[in-house]
Parts: sequence; structure tokens; C-alpha cells
Amino acid sequence: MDSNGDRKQSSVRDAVFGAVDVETLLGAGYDQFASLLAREQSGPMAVVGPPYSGRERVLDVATDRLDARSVRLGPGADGSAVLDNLGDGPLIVGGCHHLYERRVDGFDPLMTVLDALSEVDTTVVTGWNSTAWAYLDAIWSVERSFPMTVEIQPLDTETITIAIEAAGDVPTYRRPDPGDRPLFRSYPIGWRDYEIPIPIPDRLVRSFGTETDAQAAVFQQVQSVANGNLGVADALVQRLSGEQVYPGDVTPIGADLDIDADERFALRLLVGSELADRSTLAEIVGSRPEPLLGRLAREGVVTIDGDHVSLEPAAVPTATATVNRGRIL
Amino acid sequence: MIPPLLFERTGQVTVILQTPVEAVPLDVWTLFNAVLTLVGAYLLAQLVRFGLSALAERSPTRRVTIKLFIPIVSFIFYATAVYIVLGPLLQLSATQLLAVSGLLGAAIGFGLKDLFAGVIGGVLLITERTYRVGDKVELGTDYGEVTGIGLRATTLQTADDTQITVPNATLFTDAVANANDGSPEMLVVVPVSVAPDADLERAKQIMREALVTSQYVYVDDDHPIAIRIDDQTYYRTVRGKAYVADLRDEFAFKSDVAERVLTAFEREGIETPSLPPPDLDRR
Repeated sequence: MDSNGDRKQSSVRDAVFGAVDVETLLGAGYDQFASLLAREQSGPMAVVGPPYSGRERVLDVATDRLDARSVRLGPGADGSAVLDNLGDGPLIVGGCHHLYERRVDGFDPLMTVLDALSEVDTTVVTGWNSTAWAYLDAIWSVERSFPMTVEIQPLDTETITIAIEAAGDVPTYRRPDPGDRPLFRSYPIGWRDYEIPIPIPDRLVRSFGTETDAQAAVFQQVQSVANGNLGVADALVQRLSGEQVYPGDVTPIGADLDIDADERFALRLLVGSELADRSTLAEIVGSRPEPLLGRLAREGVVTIDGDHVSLEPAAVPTATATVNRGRIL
Repeated sequence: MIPPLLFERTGQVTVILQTPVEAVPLDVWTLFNAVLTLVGAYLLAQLVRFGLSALAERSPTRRVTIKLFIPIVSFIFYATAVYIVLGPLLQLSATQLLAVSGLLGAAIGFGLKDLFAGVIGGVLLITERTYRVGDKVELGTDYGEVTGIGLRATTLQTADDTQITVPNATLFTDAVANANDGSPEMLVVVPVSVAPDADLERAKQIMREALVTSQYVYVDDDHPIAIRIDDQTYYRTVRGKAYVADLRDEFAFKSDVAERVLTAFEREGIETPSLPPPDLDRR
């Protein structure tokens, strides 16, 4: 399978999170979350995690266990939905990273909500994108507004394998016919900021032996590329479905992405928001939206749906690496 | 066979006459070897320069550190080549050494003073690391990014993409201002002036938001943002101070912030200063 050339849209299946319990997702932070659910603690809590990593799963569990009202914020949120429901029992708010836009006068809704949260003594569980959280904490010290903060943890290979297999529709791991075998396969070896593709003779790849071993090797690569992010891992595996797969086939969308400064900034905004208004994005970046977003869409990194632009789950590793290399806050 | 040393006693003074050193023939082959050695050193230095530059550009966080090694390695290559070439030729006797020293002293004193000062400055730059390749420095009246440190001069690239060669001897005569001192981050000050009766609190808030929303900004506990007000006679200046993640974005950052601040000022009616009236009493 030529996964580099495959531009099909990736997606995250809700079912994939069903096999993972919240304790696994939150790791050491689960105790704090559990005490909140047991109503031993109250006040605002921030659930912080990378895009598609399972924040919604945590918030759903909190909604059920606390019998709370639930609000999900989207692009352009003004915070009124939060303020209207605040103070009347437990409240779950997802997508809090949509409370700000990265421009002058773009922080007013966030400040209004944070001010309101500081006076609340009921339980409010909020969901935040980790990139947006890091940015807001650097410029506004947002963590001080939340006495409790828990983070979604990277999952290990075994957990990811179980979760994806439980959701069904897994790839077929078969060794290809000898005629289809390439002489070499490329494996990226990363060290700090550097990543060097190492050509490995196919003979070594085939030494995985049984199909079970090949499957384990593929999932190891999936876990590594996805950095333990279950949603991203699922999207990567979905791109491989129904094909004969090697570990080297597991590549994120846009692995060979070559972008300019404006596109990199647009990617940073999408990594931090996951979903954005097309016009707002163009206004912040300062470029004409058509060429900029069109190019990212052609690369398969983003999906444009009407006035909304979203980051493809399988493009998260590439987008994150690009943003980190550019050191964009 | 000539004995190695001859002693000749003349009255109270003992004169030591050193034997003539076997001379290296200055023939075509010697010249060819010398040129070959120098060319080899040049090629090696260029190769290392190219390799280290390419490596440095791939790592924004360590670019300055990696580029630091370029002049050091180049210096080692050239010094070694010069030693290899001149070593055999300059096996001088004491008398010859005295004569050469005198000539060298006179030459440096009269004609090559600046060149020699530049070379000494270059050696000091490499050993003391006053600034490094990749740093943003002000040398005399020139400001720019250091793109090369040679034995004689330093090359700066200015904001308008002009290459300026500044003698290393400037180190001894002028103050050197280093804006980042080897770090990829750099503090940038963005001054915007407002009228004396403008809403300063709102102006500060706009400046702050323009700084933190720029794509070039870098903020953490060690790189905080600050806003300062300068009260002048006819206007006030709002100075936004923030770090950029990559010092090469200094001017892009200033332009980006200033543009968005001025746009917001105009939108909100925050007036920028007008010229003072011509009949203003200046006492």
C-alpha cells in the first residue's frame, strides 16, 4: 500500500474510546478526577489533552457520573452558554479552547468565563486542547484559575492495540507476494529535532515472521507515530484498512509537507483549536484563505467543510512536529 | 662536519654563534606543496562551513551554538596549514629571528597595524566569544546578524539584506552590543506613540494583546512580556517588550505588532501624536 500517496480523509471513531477506561487515559491524575466524581472536591477542573486524544470520553464520563449539564463550545463561542449554566449544579464544558481567538480583542470571552469560574464553588469540569492550554498558561497563567488540572496521558502499544481491535475493522496483516516486495523500506529515526529516514533491507522487515508479529510491529509503529494518542492512532490504522501493511506504511498525513510561515501559523492555530472558522483563520493569519487552506487541504492535512476548517486526525503528528520545529507558541 | 655550536670568547663577552640551519629549498615543488596545503585547508574549511551551516539551519534552537564552531574550526584548519607551510621555511637562527622580528615590528607598526589588530581581535573573538555567528550585534554604528567571523573582520547582515564587513579591531575601539548572546530568543522592543490625552490603559491592553498574539512571540517564565510608558513633552510612547522565538524574526515581529496595534488604535479612536504647534512656547 502506498500510504504516502493516499489522501483519503482520516477519522476518529467514537467506539475506539469505549475500550479504554478513564483511569488509563488520565494516569496519575485519575485520583483527582475520581475524588471530584465522588464529590469529595468541588470547583473548576481542567481536563487537558492533545487533539483527538480522548478528552471527550473523560467529559462524557464526568457528565454521566455527576448527572451534570453539558455544554460543548465551538468556533466563535462567546461564553454565554457557560455563564448561563454556571452555578446551578455540576457543569461540564467541552471545547474551552474556543473561548479565545488569537488576535487583539480575541480574549474577552475567555476572561469573562475565567472571572466567573473564580467565584464558583460548584463542580465545573472543562475540556482544553493541550496546545491552546500551554499558550494560554504562558501568556495569562490560566492554570491559576483551575485548582485541579488533569492531563490525558499517552497510551502504550498494548492499550492502543486492544482499543482499536475492539472497535473492529482492523487491517489485514499479511506478508506481500515476493514480486511486490521493495528492496528497502524507510524507517524514520528521530533524535530531538532531527529525523532521519533509515533505509532497512526488506529482508529484515520480513523477518517479523508470523502475521501476529507483523501486527505487533505495525502497532508499535502506530503508537510511536501517534505519540500514544489513541484518536490519532485509530485514524492512522483506518488509513491502512484492508491492505497488506508494514510498519513503514504507518505514516502521518503530510509527512513530506513543505510549507511557508503563514501556512505554519495556520497549522498552529488548527493544532490548538482542532476546528476553526475559515474566515476567522484567514483574518488572523493575514493571508487570502483560498490558496493557503486549499494547499493544506490538497495535502490532506485539513478538511474544509463549508465555513469550517478542521485538522485531520492522521495529520496531527505532522502538524505538531511542524509547529514545534517552528517554535510557534 | 660543522659542530652544532661555536663559542668565541672576546674579552668579557661570550658570543654564541649558532650553526646555519639547513635551508628548505624554495623550488617549484615546495611552492606547489604550499599552495596545495593552503587550498586543502580552504576546501576543508568550506566543507565544514557548509556542513555545519546546513546542520544549524535544521535546528532553530541550536543554530547559534552550532555556528559557533565554524570560525573555530576554520581557524584551526588555516593555522595548521600556515604552520605546515611556514614551519620548515622559518627555521631561523637567532640573528635571523632578530632581524625578522625587527622587520615584522616595523611593518606592523607602520603599515599592518590595523590588519594585525584585526587578527588579534579575531583571535579574541574566538577565545572570548564576545559574539558568535548567528548573534544580533551592534558594532560601532552597524547593526545586524553576524554571518561570519574571520581572522581579520566580521561580516554582518543588516535588516535591508546588506552585507557589512566590520574589522575585528572595532572590538578595541567601540562598544559591542550583543542582543541575544548566543540564545535563539531575543528581546524586541516595539514603541508606538500616542497623544497625551489618549486612554493609556486601553493602549497598554492593545499592545499586550498584539504582542502575545503574534506568531513570532516566545513567552515563558524566563522570557516575560512587559509594557512600559515613556512620558514625553508632546506625546507618550507605549513600549511593548517581548521575545521572539527566532532572532531572525525580529523585524517581522516589530512590523506585525506595530501594524496591528495601529489598526486597533485607529479602530478605537486612540489618537497618535500630532506635531506641536509652530508657536509653541518651548521654555
